[in-house]
Amino acid sequence: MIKIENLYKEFENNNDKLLAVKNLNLEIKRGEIYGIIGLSGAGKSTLIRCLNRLEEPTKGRIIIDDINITALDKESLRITRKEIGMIFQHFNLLAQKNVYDNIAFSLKLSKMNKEKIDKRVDELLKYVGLEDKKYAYPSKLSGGQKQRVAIARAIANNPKVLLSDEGTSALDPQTTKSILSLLNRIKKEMGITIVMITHQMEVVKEICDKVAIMEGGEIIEANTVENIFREPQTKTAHKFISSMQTDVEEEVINPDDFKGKIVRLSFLGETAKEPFISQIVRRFYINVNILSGNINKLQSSNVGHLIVEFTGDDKEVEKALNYLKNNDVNVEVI
Amino acid sequence: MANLVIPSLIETLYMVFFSTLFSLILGFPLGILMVVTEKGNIWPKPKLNQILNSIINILRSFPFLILMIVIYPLSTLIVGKSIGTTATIVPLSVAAAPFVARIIESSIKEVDKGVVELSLSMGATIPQIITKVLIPEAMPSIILGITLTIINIIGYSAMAGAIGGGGLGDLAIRYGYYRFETNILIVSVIVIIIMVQSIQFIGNTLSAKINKK
Repeated sequence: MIKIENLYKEFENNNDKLLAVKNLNLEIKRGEIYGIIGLSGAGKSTLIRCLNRLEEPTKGRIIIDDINITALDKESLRITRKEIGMIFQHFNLLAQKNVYDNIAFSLKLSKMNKEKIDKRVDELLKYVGLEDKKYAYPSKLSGGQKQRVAIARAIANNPKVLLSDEGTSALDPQTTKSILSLLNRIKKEMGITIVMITHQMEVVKEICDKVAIMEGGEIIEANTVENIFREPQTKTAHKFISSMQTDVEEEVINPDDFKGKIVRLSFLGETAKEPFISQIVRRFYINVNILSGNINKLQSSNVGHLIVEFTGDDKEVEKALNYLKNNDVNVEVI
Repeated sequence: MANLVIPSLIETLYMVFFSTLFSLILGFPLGILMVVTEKGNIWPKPKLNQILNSIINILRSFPFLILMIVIYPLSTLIVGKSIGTTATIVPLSVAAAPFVARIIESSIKEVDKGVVELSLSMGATIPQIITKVLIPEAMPSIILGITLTIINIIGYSAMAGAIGGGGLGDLAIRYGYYRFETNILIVSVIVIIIMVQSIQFIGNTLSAKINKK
């Protein structure tokens, strides 16, 4: 659906050159919610803005639904953009227009007739749950309501792709959840492919199917969300996972404070149902001390984490770890 | 006294109305052009932007009285005479147009860049962005700008009166100053003050009323 090939974006500012995106390759399948996570300055916003060429790529190719976006002339680009909806961190609603006119905006741009516009706007209002706000002005809406209007506006033209540039970053956790579930519904019911830029791992965990981690303009790790949670390869990925509220205990645990071996175990899906801890305690001559644990509910399954201390004979501990590894538990010595 | 003040008031209103109208016709598109042709904006034309900028600055540097004298021949060309109320409309409009351009420029620049970006992401054309986004979003500020313009033109028109333009300024100078009829001078000034006050009041009210922000 979306293919990014060798993408470069360079900014020039008074002879100062900044490579915001370097040699980036990514493939996003139809109907997926693809998260792109990174710290600020990682180049993720530049990347998503290259997808509809709000930012002109310096080099490389972007193909969306078999259309080579990078090769389009201005007029064809303008028309193609109607197929790519976008939502923003600060909603970007027209402050002088009411909810109805904001949602009707893209339809009016396409010169749809009034009757059709009325019908479509009513449909969309119902879909995002704002029927009673039809004639309200943005200044009277809460952040979540504003983003709902922005989403309705973005999908009004039935786009194939929806880009979200930090679409939930300005919202509180509860509102974020409700916006995410709306996006999830859009993906499921309308089959729209969604690309989400975010710096919140919670967003990725909640609705993304796949995730790419960006740092210094490059993708340093990309995988399904389950795999990233289970076996993060890079330090940054680790940090993002442990930055989530449920994981704060990990920060507090300092391996030097313990005599035994501190190990982080990750269980995915089915493995989470097996009583591994009691099994290893029975099979091997070791003691297991559970220091912290949590379960992350992902879009498709659950990933459980345990931080445990193994004490006992080194050989026995080694055997226990191998046993766990052989049973699909991800083991990582801290 | 009323038979002196009322015709002068009507002359002033006539001058101010048409000068505002023509200065808007000249200055409004210029102001918009100043914004959209800027580097990094929706229709970047840096050269054109620079030229327009210089023209506006030059016109604005002229003292109004000098500009009027320079432009009076143009009045002869357009309205057939170089003296009187109708003739004054030409230099008034030309003098106020660059002012209007700056006012419109700064109003349009207040519009959140995000909504422009959004419009681009939705495939809006440049004319659509100007007419459906920039102008409507800037409207409360534009109305205040137009109010300021009208008040400025009232001031200019009083000056124009001094060199044969008619209106309240003319009346104040001829009767009040040259003939020492102070009461006419005072009344003329009071009428001008009332005009300015009411226009500012109407402008503020209107702007606040349409502003949904």
